[in-house]
Amino acid sequence: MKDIRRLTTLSMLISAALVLHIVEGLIPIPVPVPGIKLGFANIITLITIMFFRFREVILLVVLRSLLASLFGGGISGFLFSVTGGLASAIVMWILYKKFSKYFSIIAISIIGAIFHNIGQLLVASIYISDFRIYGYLPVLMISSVITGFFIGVICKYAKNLIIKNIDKLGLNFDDK
Amino acid sequence: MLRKGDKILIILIVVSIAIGYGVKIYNSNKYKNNDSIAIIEINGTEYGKYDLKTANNKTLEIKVSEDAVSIVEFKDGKVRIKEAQCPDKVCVKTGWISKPGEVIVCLPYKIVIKISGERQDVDVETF
Repeated sequence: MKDIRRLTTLSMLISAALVLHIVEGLIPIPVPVPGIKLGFANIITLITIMFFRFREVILLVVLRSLLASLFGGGISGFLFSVTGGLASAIVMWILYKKFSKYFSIIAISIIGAIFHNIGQLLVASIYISDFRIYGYLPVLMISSVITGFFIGVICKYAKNLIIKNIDKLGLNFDDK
Repeated sequence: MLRKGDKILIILIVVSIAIGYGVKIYNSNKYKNNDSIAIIEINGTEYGKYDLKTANNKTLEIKVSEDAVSIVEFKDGKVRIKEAQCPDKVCVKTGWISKPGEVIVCLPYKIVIKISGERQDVDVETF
């Protein structure tokens, strides 16, 4: 029974991530790096990290990137999403699970957003066979710090809300 | 409220932004006197090299597919994609580029325009 609840909750989280993806797609970013995104979906990634297992986090990231690429972006869109998403998810997982003592959720979110951009720049630089695109990193860092900050604030409050209502939400998996 | 790692993070971010801009300024000074050559690549293969200094008020029409043409414009030592039929038009929105390291990318049509900072002696098209 618990597994079905995990599955359905995860599916809803993926849908939420897709909606966020579409919303952020409506916001034009004046930086000429292909595939660059604000990374609102990181909210979902971070929430998943807080309450689910590692393999479920990876599943979430890969599936949402796959589905998002179907909405527009194609194979290259998928590669950009998944690299940034995985880089961000893995780093945030490690930080959240092992280093919570040293980093607040907001900091973890900011670092996640930065690695999301680093991942995307990696794919972009391979794509155009030119590593100089990393010259855009300073600009991206500013935007990822700002986005990361807001995402962190949202996640911080979401975490408290979820924990308070964990029974009602059915997220109290005791088989971690 | 600020934990130990948070403080380190803030310092790192400020430092890397400073370094990032420093490197940028250094590069633009270093390459100031070199030829500005715009290299256009389509699908990974080189389409042509264009000397920005001699190309002025010239346009290039690149046929990217059956019914789509992307228009590249050269003016005042800068280059841009003026028109494109791709759905997102990121390439058009990028606007003018002229410095080494700057790029215009059109993902759907796999067009990449980048500025080379090194001196080129061969195969440069001058208008």
